[in-house]
Amino acid sequence: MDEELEEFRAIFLDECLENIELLESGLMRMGEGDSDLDTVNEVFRAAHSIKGGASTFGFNPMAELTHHMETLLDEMRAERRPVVEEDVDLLLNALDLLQTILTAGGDDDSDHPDRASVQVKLEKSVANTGDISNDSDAAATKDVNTEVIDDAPTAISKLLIQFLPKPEFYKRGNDPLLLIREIARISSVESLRVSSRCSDWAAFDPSESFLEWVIQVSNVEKADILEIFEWVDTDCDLSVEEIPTEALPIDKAQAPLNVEVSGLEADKSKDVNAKDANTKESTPVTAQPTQNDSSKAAKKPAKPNQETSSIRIATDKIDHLINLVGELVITQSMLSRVSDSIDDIDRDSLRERVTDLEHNTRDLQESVMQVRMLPISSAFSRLPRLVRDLSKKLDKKVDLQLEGETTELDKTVLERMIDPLVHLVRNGLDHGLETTEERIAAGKSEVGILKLSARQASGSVVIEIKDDGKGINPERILTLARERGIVGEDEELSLEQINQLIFAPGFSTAEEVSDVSGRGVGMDVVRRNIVDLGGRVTVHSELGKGTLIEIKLPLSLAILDGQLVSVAGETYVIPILSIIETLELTKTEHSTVPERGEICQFRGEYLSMIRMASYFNHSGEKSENLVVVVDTHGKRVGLVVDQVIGQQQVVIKPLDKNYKNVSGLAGATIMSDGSVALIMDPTSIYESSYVAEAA
Amino acid sequence: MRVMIVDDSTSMRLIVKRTLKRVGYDMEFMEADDGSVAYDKIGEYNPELVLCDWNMPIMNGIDFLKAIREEGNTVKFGFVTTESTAEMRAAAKEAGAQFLIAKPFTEESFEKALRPVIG
Repeated sequence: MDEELEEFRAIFLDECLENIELLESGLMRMGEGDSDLDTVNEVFRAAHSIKGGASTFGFNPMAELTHHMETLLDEMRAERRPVVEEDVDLLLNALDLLQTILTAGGDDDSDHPDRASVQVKLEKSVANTGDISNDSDAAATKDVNTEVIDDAPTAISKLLIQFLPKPEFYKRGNDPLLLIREIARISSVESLRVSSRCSDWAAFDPSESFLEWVIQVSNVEKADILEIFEWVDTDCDLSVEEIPTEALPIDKAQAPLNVEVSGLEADKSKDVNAKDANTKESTPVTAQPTQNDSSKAAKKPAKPNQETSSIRIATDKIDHLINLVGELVITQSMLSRVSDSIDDIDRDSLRERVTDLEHNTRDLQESVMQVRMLPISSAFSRLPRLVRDLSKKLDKKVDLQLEGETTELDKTVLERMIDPLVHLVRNGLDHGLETTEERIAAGKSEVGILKLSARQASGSVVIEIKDDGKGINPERILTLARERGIVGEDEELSLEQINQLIFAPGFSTAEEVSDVSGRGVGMDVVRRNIVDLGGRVTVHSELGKGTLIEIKLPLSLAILDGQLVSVAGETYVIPILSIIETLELTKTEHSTVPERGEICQFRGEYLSMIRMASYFNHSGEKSENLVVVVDTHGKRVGLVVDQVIGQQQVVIKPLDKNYKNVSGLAGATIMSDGSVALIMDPTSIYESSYVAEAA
Repeated sequence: MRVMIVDDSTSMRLIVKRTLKRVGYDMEFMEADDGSVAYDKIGEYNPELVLCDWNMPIMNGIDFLKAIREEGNTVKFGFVTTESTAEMRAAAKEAGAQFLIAKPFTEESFEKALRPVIG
């Protein structure tokens, strides 16, 4: 296959994913009892699009499977059968299979052994309506190749074609000459005559049609001639008659080729075979309304968000753009500094311009960053299906509530959040919510509530997963954590700290490890994923009332809200999201403990401290006034710095192009004075420090 | 020749263009991803031929065709669609289409359908 086709295929596969999402969300709504025609139509269209593309690109398994889905959906949208749960389940199964085939590449080699049985089930379901006339459009597909051959092919030697176009023929963009050329291409034309049906100039009406053709041909099947006229036969008076060789109706018919073009004055008595066509001068235009259910159904937008038109852009192009704008921001702020120090009469006017530039660059930067933003609905949209399947499996009744689906997040952040979200929802269903019996016994409503919400809050996105289940039992957690050696026997923990233990590696509280939320390997991975994105996750829980998991994520990975600090004369940036509090070292109780190094007291707990000047081997003069308390994978640690300078949004520049990953650093940024500041990575600082080794 | 391709699938628009190019037509292409968009743009584009999908999200092909015919537009119009039932062909014809090409199509299917329409 050539490159171009390969590229089109890739685009098609992308479109398939979008259509699969539409299918899934639509089917979910149908499963919940939404049998609205718009929904059914939307689902039908999605299946239909996949089928069309799949057959064009030669993805036969996908084409066949979607064909079967579409047949069942077509019955539903034509309201020949009700939308019932069994059928929706069947379609969802087919969808899963479709996804499997697509993931494997979509082509013949990606076929799945289950496909035949799923298709048989779909077929059976269609057959169950007892409506044979619409049995399947397998017949219709065949129709494509055979549709014109209504008449049995008749091997006749000569045909007489009379052709008088009506005005509509011309109104629809047809050209009689092209049709006649086509006749000549497939047959031997023996004679052709054009005549006008207009008797004189007075009767001439330019909006009417007067020209008539009478053509005699041989060596052709009648069906082939009819096929040429297939699309215009209602827009013209047409007759195609077989003629016996001995009684040729046209004068001089035997002449090799006789083209006789008559003008407006033409003698109209020339018409030989008085067919029906000849009895009228012209036919009045009567538009017959077409009744067609697809035209009825698809008139109004099915989903408002489909109206936003979009273009596809490769992510690296956008990233390049973002990078350039980042540079521009830096240049701008450098310029701004320079303008401050200019001592000149033009200074005021320069400052004014620089302020304009500052506004513009900020707007530009925000707009460009916006390009990478996607609504969180694309991550949320797969959850209803998950909850539906899981609640069936666990036999729990759940009301899944989604809120703030339009909240936007960076594409990469969003993509990397999908797995953690899925895991947290599974966990909430499996461990959080009780069974129906337990709920009734506890005096709660039968149906458990699982609520996901997303919102933007001061430069970050907050996602909450809340259930009204049994909550976390702190005693159990603590006992288990002690058993597993995660917490020392004599270690005292606050309630908050106990709750965070569910994120500790190797922790599982399910009485029986179920195949739903797995073996407890998930929660620590969930936290790691979130922290790697520069975010934070916290748990709040009340025994018997429910659990709330709060995830805080940065809006973007390219720009960071940073706290500037100075360490031995150097400026560093600490990500604000990881900072809990800043303490004054002199006012904080601190001491050195043999096993743990330096510790300080923070809200009743002892924190390990890391002196950043010695961590980064700075020999400059240092004051070490402040302790910045940061959260690293659930462990808190105090970073000792000299001063906090201010907060600033910084553009993250990766170091790994020039250096290998440097432990303790997340990247670098260029400050407004043109100097480079390094961005601290609290997690790797903690992990690579002696503190972690000691613990 | 100015040709407007109306299909909600990008890949489908691309493959239609490619097929037409391979047949050897000298065409200038305009695209629309929905009947409603095509309806808004047809006056501006002023194409000589429209190749249109049947099923589209907001305005389907047949409604688009009916709408422009109602306004007296005589552009040559053909459907390129996955289904091709007798009823659809009849409806297409009645609404004023000149041909219907079924997907999956070949270069030949375009040649055959277009010859009587654009020569």
